[in-house]
Formats: sequence, structure tokens, C-alpha cells
Amino acid sequence: MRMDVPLADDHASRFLPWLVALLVYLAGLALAATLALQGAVEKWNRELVGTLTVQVGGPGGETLKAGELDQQTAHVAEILGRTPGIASARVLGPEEIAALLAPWLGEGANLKELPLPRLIDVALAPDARIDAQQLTKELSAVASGVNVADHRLWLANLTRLARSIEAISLGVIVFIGFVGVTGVVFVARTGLALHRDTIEVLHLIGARDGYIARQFERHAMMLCLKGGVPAIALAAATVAALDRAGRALGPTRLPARSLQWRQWLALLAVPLVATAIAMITARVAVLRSLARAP
Amino acid sequence: MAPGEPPILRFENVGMRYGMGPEVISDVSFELKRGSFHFVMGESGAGKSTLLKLMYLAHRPTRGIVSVFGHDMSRTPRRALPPLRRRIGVVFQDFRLLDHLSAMENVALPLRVAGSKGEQSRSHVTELMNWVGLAERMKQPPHTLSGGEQQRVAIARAVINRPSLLLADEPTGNVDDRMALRLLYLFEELNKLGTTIVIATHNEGLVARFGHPRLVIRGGTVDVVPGGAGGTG
Repeated sequence: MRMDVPLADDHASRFLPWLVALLVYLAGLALAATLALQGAVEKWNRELVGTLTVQVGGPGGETLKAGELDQQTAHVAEILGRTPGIASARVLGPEEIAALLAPWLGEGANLKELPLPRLIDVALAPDARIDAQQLTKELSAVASGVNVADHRLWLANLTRLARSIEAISLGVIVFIGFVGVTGVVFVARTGLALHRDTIEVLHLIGARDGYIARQFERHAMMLCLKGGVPAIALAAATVAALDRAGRALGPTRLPARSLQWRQWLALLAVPLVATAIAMITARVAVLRSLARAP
Repeated sequence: MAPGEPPILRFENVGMRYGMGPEVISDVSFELKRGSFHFVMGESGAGKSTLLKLMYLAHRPTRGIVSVFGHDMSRTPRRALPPLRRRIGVVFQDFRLLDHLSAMENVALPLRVAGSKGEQSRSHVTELMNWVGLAERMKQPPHTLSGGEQQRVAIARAVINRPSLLLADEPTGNVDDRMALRLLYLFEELNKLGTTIVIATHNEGLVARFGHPRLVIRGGTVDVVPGGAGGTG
């Protein structure tokens, strides 16, 4: 249907889909990064909170023979199993150690020839407080090269870093939104100025401000969808391409890259949210300007 | 007008200036009864258009009271103006048709603005386009129509909502005498159906022929001159 106010012909309207496309693309990438990071932090929290890793035969214990090392490791595991606050202690098998080292040594590396320490995965009881330094001291009495790695400290630092990056990404998204809103306000005001006569005629034949604002709203919607839909498709393709490139690297300790289906939905909602914001912005800008008319 | 019924238009000591300029009209007082027919006369620049703009609520007076359908415009909030404006049909001097719409869409505009449904409004518009003799050209954009045709589109747009008050600014300015006469007969017909009519014109011959009362603007003030002996035939 033809609009009463011929906004589609405005020169100012032609740049808005391009601006929206650029902003939606950038917002899509920023959101994808934020979501991937959130997923990674959640995964780390899930996997590492309430656990310790005890290493036997690390620095200071490299000279031990394999049999001695296994014996000491079993002893340490037994002590850990009796220690208050520890729910379970499990010695990791060679395959599990190989899997942990795969990001650095590659799949199928021959680890038998390497003087690797043994690892014990320790699950803590809920709300247990373990002093890692004290435990290291106690275990060092029965084994060589013992180190107790408390993941909580490492995880807290990593989580803080991830949250900072997340906050920056959200800041970028907010800034992008601000630029978009400014663009929509500019286009709406230009439209109001260009079509002042038409708007006056509409007023004089009894149009309410809301009727005129709806025309601007609909116009903003069309322009945003025109720019936003292809842009989010491009952003999704970029994320998928980065994901594929990441997978080609093989297993790494980098954050999980693949987005979950809900996160994909959130990404695809970006142009819709942008359109809703543009419509509201256009409406508010037009109503505020029209309120000054006689 | 029934006794006690408020006048459709009332001006009381109205003054109007643009910005910091001098008053274009000052101390204007008169009343128009429901169903009346008036001509507004005066030299170019005398303030006819300003008077009409106050009547069709394009402006509020700088001072004094303008009351339309019993509503004092100085106290009527902006949001209450659209329903009042829908009861007023206006034929602008320069027509003010929307060039990106067809003649038919221009005529349908007041109905659309008022929220009428498509089918109902289409038959009404077609009927009116027939009435003004433009049925064949209703899909044309206004800029492809002659001045007289555009004027008839503007008139059709002004009357489509069956307004209680019809204001026309120089509606015969762009047409020959025969068409001017035809248009005035058309306004007379509307007047007989109960519409209050106010027409601003220079055409003294035409005014004399119809003999309706006149609002004569001179030196920024308005005198109401009773109707003459003119007839409508």
C-alpha cells in the first residue's frame, strides 16, 4: 500500500539500510563472541569448580622410574581419599593424559617415551575448603614432585577476564545501538522537514499525530529489515566459517566455539530487535517533533 | 439554528500576528450560524487566508477567542483538534493535493485518516468522483490533471467526510466563469443539505449573483454585510 507521506523517495532513506546492515553485522559478531564466551565460562565453571588436580612426579620428581612413580601416585591417591573434605580421588589413565596433551602434542603422539607426571583428579565435597599449600606439604612427605593445583584461583582470574571481554562486547553492542538510533532519528527528522507540507495537509484533514508517526514507523521497519536481514545472514555465515576454521585446528583449550541453538536464535533475533528499536525510535522522534506543531 | 444552539463559528476580539510582525487581523468579532452561507471578501493581502486558517484550525489566534463547534480554541488541547478538523472540509487556494497519490487516493484520504474501511470508502469515493465529473481520471496523479480538474479533486476531498463546515479559499480562482458558477451551485447544494459554507473569493460578480451575506475584511477588521438581493438561479 502506498504511504500518505512519500518517505520511500527520500535520499536520506537510502543510506539507512546500509547503515543498519553494517551495524547489525557488527552487533551480530559481538553478540556471537559474547555468547561463545559465556558458554565457555559456564563450561569451565561446571567442569572445574569443586575439583583439584594433584600432580605427582612433576618438577623435583623427574628422576623416578615409572614403577616407583605409579606406586607413589597410588599412595597419594589413597591419602587423598581419606582426607576430610575430599569426596573422591581418581588417578587419570594414560589415554586421559594423552587427551589433555593432544592440543600441544597432537593426536596419537607416543607418550610412553616421555617422562610425564601422573595426575589425580580430586573431587571436593560440597562447600569443602582445602588449603592447597598445606595439602602439597603433606603429600610431599610421601611422594616426589607433588603439586596441588587449585583451579578456583585460576578460574576466578579467567572468569574475570572473560567477564571483562563480555562487558566490552556488550558496550560495543550498546554503542552500535546508539549509532543506529541516531541514524533513525536523523532520517525521521529529515523526513519530517522534507514532507512538512504533506504532514500539514494530513493534520488539517484530521490525522492524529499517531497516524503520521505510524507511517514513519512502517518506513523505519521496511528499511531496517531490508538492511538487517541480509546482514545477519552474513554475520551467521561469518560465525559458521570461524567455527569451521576453529574446528580445523583440532582440540584446543580455546573457548568452545560452536553456538547452541538458543544462541543461534538470539543471533537471528538481532535484526528483529534492531527493527523494533528503530520503529520505537522513529515513533518517539516523530511524536516529539509533531507535538510542537500548532 | 435552534434557540440556544451555539454558533458553529464564533470570533470574539480576535487578533492574529505572525511572529513579531504587525497584526494581520485585529479585534475581529462575528458569529456564523449552523447552515449559513458566507462569502469572505477583501483585497489581496487583506487577511482572508488568515481568517480562513483560524477557521480551519491551522493556527490559534494571538489574542481573543475563536470558538469552533462550541470549543474555545485557546482552551482546547492539541489532541482534541483532529476530531474537530474532521468535521471541517477545506478547499485550499493551491489545492494541496498529494502528488504521489492518485486523484482517487487524494479524495479518499480524509476517510482513511478517520479509519474507514477500504471497500466502503472506495464506493463512496467513486460516487463522489462521478459527481465532480472525474470518474474517468480518478487513477491519474494530480499533476497530470488540469487546474480545474485538480480543483474538483480538492473539492471532492473536502466534502467526502460530509463536513459540518466547508471552507474554500478562492475555489473559483483557476476556472472559467461557467465552471465557477457550476462549483458555486455545488456548494449551494451542500449548504441545502445542512453544511455551513464559507468561501473566500475576489469574484464580486459571482458574489452579487448569489446574494449571501459577506464577511468583508478591510484594514484588518471584519464587517458582516447582510445578503443582497441576489438569487441562486
